[in-house]
Amino acid sequence: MTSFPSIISRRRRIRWHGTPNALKDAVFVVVLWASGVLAIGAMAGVLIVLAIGSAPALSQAGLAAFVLGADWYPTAGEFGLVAMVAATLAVSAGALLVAGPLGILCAVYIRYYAGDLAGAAFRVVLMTLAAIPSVVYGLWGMTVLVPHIAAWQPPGTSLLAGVVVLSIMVLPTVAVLAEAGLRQLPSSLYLGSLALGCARHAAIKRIVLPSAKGPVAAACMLGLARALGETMAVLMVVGNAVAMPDSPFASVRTLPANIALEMAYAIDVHRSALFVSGLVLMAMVGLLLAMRWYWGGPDDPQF
Amino acid sequence: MNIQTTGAAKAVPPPGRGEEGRIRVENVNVAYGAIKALSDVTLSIPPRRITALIGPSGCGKTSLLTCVNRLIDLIPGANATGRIFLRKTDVLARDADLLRLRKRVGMVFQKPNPFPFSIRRNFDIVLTEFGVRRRDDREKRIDECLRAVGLHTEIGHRLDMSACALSGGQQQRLCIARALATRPEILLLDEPCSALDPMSTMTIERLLLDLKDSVTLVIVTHNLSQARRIADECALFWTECGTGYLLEHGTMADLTDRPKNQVTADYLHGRVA
Repeated sequence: MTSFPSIISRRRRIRWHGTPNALKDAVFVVVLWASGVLAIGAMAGVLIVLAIGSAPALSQAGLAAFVLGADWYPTAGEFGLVAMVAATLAVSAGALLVAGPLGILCAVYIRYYAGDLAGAAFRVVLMTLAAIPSVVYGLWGMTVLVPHIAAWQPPGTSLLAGVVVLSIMVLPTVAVLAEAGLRQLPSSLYLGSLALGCARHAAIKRIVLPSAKGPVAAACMLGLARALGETMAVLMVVGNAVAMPDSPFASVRTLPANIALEMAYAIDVHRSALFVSGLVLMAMVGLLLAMRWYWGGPDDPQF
Repeated sequence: MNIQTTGAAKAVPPPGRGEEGRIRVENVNVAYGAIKALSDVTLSIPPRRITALIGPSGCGKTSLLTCVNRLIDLIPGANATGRIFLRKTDVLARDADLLRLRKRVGMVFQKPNPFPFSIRRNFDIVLTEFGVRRRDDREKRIDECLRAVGLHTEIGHRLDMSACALSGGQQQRLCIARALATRPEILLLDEPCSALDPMSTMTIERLLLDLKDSVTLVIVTHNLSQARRIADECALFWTECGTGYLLEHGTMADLTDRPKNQVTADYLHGRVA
C-alpha cells in the first residue's frame, strides 16, 4: 500500500503541532491500524490452525494420497479428495452458469430498464434473497425440489438439486455486485451510444456490457467463491455419497459438506484428513482470487 | 450587376436543399419535474452555419440542445413541450422515430466519451448499427470520417489502438468523427472544448469551421471569445427565477455591435458577472 508511509509521516507532524484535533486524528489512525492488523491476524490464525491440523495426515499419508487416491475411506487410510473436489467444482460452476447470466440480466434491468419504483422493489427482493439463511434454502430444496427430481429421476438428492439451490443463493450476489459495477460506468457511455442512434438493447449489448467486463467478471467470481464455500444448503440436497459427478442426477459430496458431516466423530488421522479438505478448499478459493487479480488487476475497485 | 445576381441567388436557397439542416424551434418549454427550466423558446437555426448558444449557467442551453436529439427523454422527470422541426419532421412529436432522428442529429459531449475499445471498434459499432454491413465499406467510411477531423495522419495507421490512449483533444476529435459516421445533417456540441487545452481547442475550432460547409453546427459554449471566433449566429439565453429564456438572437455581429438589449451588450462585453 502506497498510503502507509504517508500516514505515518502525517501522524508524526500532527503530534508536533499537538492540537486536540490532531490527537483525535492520531487515535483514529491507531484504531484503523489495529483493526487492519486484527483482520490480517484472524486470517493468518485460520491458516495456521488449518496447517497444523493437516500436518499429521499429510506427513503420514503424503500429499499424493489426497491428490491421487481414488476413494475416501479415511479410517482405512484412503484419502482421495478428487471426487469431492470435482463435485464441489461441478456444483459451483453449474450454479454460476445459471446465476451468472441471470444476475447480469437482473442488473441490466435494474440499471437501464426499471423505473425508480420497480428498480427499488427489485433491489429489495434481491437483498431479501441474499439475507435468507442458507439452511432455509436447504429446507426448501429438501422438501420441495428433491421430491420433484425424485419423481423424474430417483433418488432426487443429486448434483442437479445442488446446482438449483446454489443458483438461487448466488443470484443476488451476482446481480447486486454487477449492478454496482454498471452504476460505476460513466453515464456518458450509455448516453453517448444512444446519441449515436443505437437502440437501447444494442447500446447495452455492444457498448455498456463490454465496457463493464471487469466489474461484471468480479461479480461472477465473488458469486463463485460464495458457491464454493456454501455448506449447509448443498449438504441437505446433494445426497453426500462420495462419487465422481458423472451425471446431473448422481449423488455427490462437496468438500465443505465433507468437513461438516464427519468432523463430529472424526479422530486422529481422519480428523487431520478433514483439515486437509479445508486446506484444499481454501486453496481453490485462493486460486480463484488470484485469477481475478491476474485478469482484473489489483487496482480494480471491485476486487 | 453580375455580382448582385450571384448575391440574390445565394440569398434564395434552391428548393429542397435549403431546408435541409435547418432547425426550427417553436414555443419550446422544458421542465424538470415541477421546475421550469426553459420557457417558450422560438428560434430558427440556419443550415450549414455555426450557431452558438451562450448565456450564464442554468439558463437552459443544454436543455434545448438535448431536445433536438431527444436525449432529454433519458433524464428522469424531464418534460419538453412545443415543436422542433427538422425539415418537416416534428422532433418532439410523441411518435418520432428516435433512432433515425439521432442518426440525423449527432452530438458531441462536454467530456470526450470514446468507448473503451479500439478506435476501429468505436466506428464499427456505430456503422454496423447504421447498416453498413460490408467490411470494406466500413473501412472506407472510417477513413472518410478521420480525414474530416484531420485525425487520419495522426492515427489512421493505428486503428487497433485503444481509443482511451489518445490525448484529450484527439479523443474529442474522434468523438466528432464518430458522430459524423452516420452522416448527420446537424451536429450538436455541448461545450466541446471546456475540458481541453488551448492548442486542442484551436484545432477543434478550425475543424468546426471546415465542417460547417456540410453540417449545421449548434455549439453551447461559455467561452465568449470562442463564440466570437467561430459563430455566425448567436443566441443569448438568460435566466429569471431559475427559468431560462431566449433573450436575443441574431448574427454574431448584430449581437456584439448592435445589441437590442442592455443585458446583451453587457454580457457580450464581459460587464456582467
